[in-house]
Amino acid sequence: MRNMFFYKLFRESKALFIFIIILCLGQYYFTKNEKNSIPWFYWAMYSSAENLPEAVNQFIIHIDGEEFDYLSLDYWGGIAVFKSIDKYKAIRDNSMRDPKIDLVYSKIDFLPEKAQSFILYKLLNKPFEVDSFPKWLHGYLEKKLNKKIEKIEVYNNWYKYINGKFQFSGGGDVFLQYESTP
Amino acid sequence: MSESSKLHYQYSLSVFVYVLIVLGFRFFGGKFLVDFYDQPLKDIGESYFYWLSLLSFFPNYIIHHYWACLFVDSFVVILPILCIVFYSKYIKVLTTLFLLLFWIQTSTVEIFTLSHSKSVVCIFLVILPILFIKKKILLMIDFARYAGAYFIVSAAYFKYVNGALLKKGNYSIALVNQYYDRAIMNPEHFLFQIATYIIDRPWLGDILFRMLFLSQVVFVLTFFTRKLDKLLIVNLFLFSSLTYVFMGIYNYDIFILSIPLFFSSQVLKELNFKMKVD
Repeated sequence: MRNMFFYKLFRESKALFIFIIILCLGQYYFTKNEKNSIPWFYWAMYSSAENLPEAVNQFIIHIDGEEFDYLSLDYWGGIAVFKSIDKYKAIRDNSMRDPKIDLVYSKIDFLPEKAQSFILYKLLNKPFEVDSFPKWLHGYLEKKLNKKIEKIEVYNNWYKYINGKFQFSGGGDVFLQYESTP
Repeated sequence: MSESSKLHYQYSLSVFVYVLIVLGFRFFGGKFLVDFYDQPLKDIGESYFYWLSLLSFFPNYIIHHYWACLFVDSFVVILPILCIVFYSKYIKVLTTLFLLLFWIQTSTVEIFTLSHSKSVVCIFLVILPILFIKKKILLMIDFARYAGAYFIVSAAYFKYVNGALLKKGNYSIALVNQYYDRAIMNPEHFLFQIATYIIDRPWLGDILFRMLFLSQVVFVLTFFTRKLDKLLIVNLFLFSSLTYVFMGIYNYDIFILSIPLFFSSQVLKELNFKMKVD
């Protein structure tokens, strides 16, 4: 008993004991609800049984007419470019409404209307922000690649997974385009 | 200098040197605020703490002001150096400031890169003990050791209960899903070449996945003995490095958990000594 961590902690400091108990209860709550919320850590990545994809959706970026592999950017640059384009498309496909609106609304529907509008305004992407994204992407890629870029086009392609290979199956439409003005 | 003061110094030094290495990775990996200056799109993710951050003014303000990005980025790098240089006088104030700025930088950059890494929790967990003195720092280092072990063991546990561990060929399928973008855009990349070798041999994937599971489940031993802590550090290093080789995932945020493991036996000796004195 005397060697137990919690016993030592309780003897040394009641405040610290309560603090750590709160952290442990938080960990229990978020793990039980399969959620992440810093400072707690629910680590369940790659724990589910997975299935082979039938088809996948892939964005292909063209810079001045040449295909560009965004994964050749630095580690987080590649991730951020992909996620941002994905978000841009999702919002445009949803009539310029952030698809997270339902999730946020479900958490705050008990609040007064004024508070709800404030929270929705702060947390969600607004149409003018979505409209300014292609220009930002252009500037970001110019900075990262250290060269002038005249035109960016992003294609939305579909690939089927056949015999262990991804084969182009359709799409090819440009949904994001930006041309720099001289 | 008393034993616990010496321990406090050595622990702080190790943590801040490692934090500087992590920041170096982030800088060269393009995860500083200046990289994403003026990014208009954001994602709130799951963490309610990120929601609360966005409700305040700071993430939006910082990302749209270049000087603010530069200020936060610079001080996040300068403060760990100051913590080491001015350890004797200002360690608590400087560590508190660093935690605050590191939180501001991390939450802002993750909101505006639209990618949310959870492993940053480990960095906060390992820095926290530095804010305490005497016996409390010993207990907090011990807490970081147990909490870190819990995180790693829980990852193994979920692999079992959620079904990934027992499904044949699951790891190969996970790699197909993980690497479809590389398969389409850059199949010559060396990471994809390694993945393809495993995808073509699902039995090899199963062996590797079970080894990964074992490398995590073995941390359950930290709850029973401290004798294997140094071996567990080697294990954690292999785990953190090999996840990059096999899955393209950096896990150096998690490797910081090796610091409480490294000081574990010293912590126990000091704790027992102090309990006897009390």
